[in-house]
Amino acid sequence: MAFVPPKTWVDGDVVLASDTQGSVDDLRAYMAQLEASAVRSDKAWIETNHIMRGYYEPIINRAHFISGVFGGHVHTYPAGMFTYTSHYTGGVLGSSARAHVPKTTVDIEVSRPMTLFFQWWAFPFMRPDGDGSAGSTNIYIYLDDPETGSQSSSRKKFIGLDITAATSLVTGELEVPSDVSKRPLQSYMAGGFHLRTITSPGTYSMGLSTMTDSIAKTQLVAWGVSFEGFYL
Amino acid sequence: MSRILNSSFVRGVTVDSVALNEKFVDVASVTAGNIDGDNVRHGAVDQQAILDGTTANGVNGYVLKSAATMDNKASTFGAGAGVAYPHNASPSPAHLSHTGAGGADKIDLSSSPLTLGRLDILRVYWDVRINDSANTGVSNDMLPAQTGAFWLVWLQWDITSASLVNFEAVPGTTDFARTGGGESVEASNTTQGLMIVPHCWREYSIGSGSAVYRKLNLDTSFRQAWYHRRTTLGDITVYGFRLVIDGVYKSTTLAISLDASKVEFDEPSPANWTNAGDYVYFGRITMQMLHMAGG
Repeated sequence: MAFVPPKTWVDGDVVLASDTQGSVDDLRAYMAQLEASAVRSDKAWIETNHIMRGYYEPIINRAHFISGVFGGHVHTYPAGMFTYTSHYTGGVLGSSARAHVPKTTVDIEVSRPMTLFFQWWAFPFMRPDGDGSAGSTNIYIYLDDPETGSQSSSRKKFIGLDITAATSLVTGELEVPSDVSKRPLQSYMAGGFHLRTITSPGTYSMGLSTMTDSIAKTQLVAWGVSFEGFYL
Repeated sequence: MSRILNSSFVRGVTVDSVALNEKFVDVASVTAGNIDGDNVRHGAVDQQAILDGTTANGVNGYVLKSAATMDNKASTFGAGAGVAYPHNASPSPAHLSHTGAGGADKIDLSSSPLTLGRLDILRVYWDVRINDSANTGVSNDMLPAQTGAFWLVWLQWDITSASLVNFEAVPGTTDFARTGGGESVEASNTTQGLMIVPHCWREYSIGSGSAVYRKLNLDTSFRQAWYHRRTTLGDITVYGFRLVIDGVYKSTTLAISLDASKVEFDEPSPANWTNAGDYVYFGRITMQMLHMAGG
């Protein structure tokens, strides 16, 4: 609705500082957040110089707009950098504890409530630890805390190839070394996504956490994460 | 010209009520739907000037019109666990409808349907955890001829009514049918919402010096996405999305043209692979949907 001054003077009124100040303050507040009904709707009136330009951060590949924040990063083999998801290399020895996967996090400044969509993909190699079990690696999407912020619905699991089970199908397969009854999966293209809302402004971290079981290491040789945060 | 012209008080002139009110009434009249480019001038509207966007989820219809998630919350999984979807299920296709405690079997928009307008964009993502347990009760559950067999999982929507009983394949996707001659998949615009889940396959073993047969490991995850931009005039109403499954399918061995391929439910002749008793086990299923303004 249109601006309505809180005070309307009539003849004979005493002009009080508080009335005048109240109306001016109210006017300032109103103009700071115009409502749609205040704007002409019968013709186009916006020009390009009326649109706030987006701000792009090239180093971390992130763009800020009025409508939202968008970004991500990709790591591939030519970069010569790998990351590890195993609990040994991650410094977390318990098979039930989740550790952060390095170089998979994005820090997002949220200035007002948003809907956030996060995606990731990865190409991992798994190596056995020789204990005779196939072993597995789990990857989760987390918000803020790799341990407590993990989303169970986002879990992606890589499992070692169970040759013992396969022998019921394949008689006489001999390619597995005799001292390792089960071998890990060599490679597995994987990915995941997560949709959530953030209701309070602040700085948040979103990335991947991991939990492995009976795997010497799981090494990501190529991976990428991206996010789309919508304000409007 | 709606620019607010508000003159200052003049020294020595007595301010009466009319002049005082005018300072604010001018603003009131302009903001009664008359703000236009003259008011904005060379400045720009930034985030602080927009009242929209302060809703709890940021869904304000400018870029993101709506969003929804579905999680069946099925937690039991492992060898022999999960929910089995058999070969040759009836009706065909079968709705992936199992849930755990408090879970959902579809994206249900019936209470608040979304209106898909021209140039709007729909993005649907889904992720499933599968244990393919081939064949129960048969000792040799992987017949050599079954290699290359697969399950078809695809996305359906209901654009008919909130009763959610009229699901059909989303645009760019085929509702596969068990036709004897095979289902044509020669065009990519018939498989955009399709996910293929391998049932079993063959690979060469150095150790045995021969081809061996493989099936999925326990708890293997598959993900897929479907993207649609509505280009036709007129709005449609979307009441929900769901996933369906059918199988076991196989690439056809029937005569086909060079530029076409087909999948078929069963080979009429020769019937060289046995499907009876084949299952695929599904555990956790999640879906996410984004409805974005495109125009």
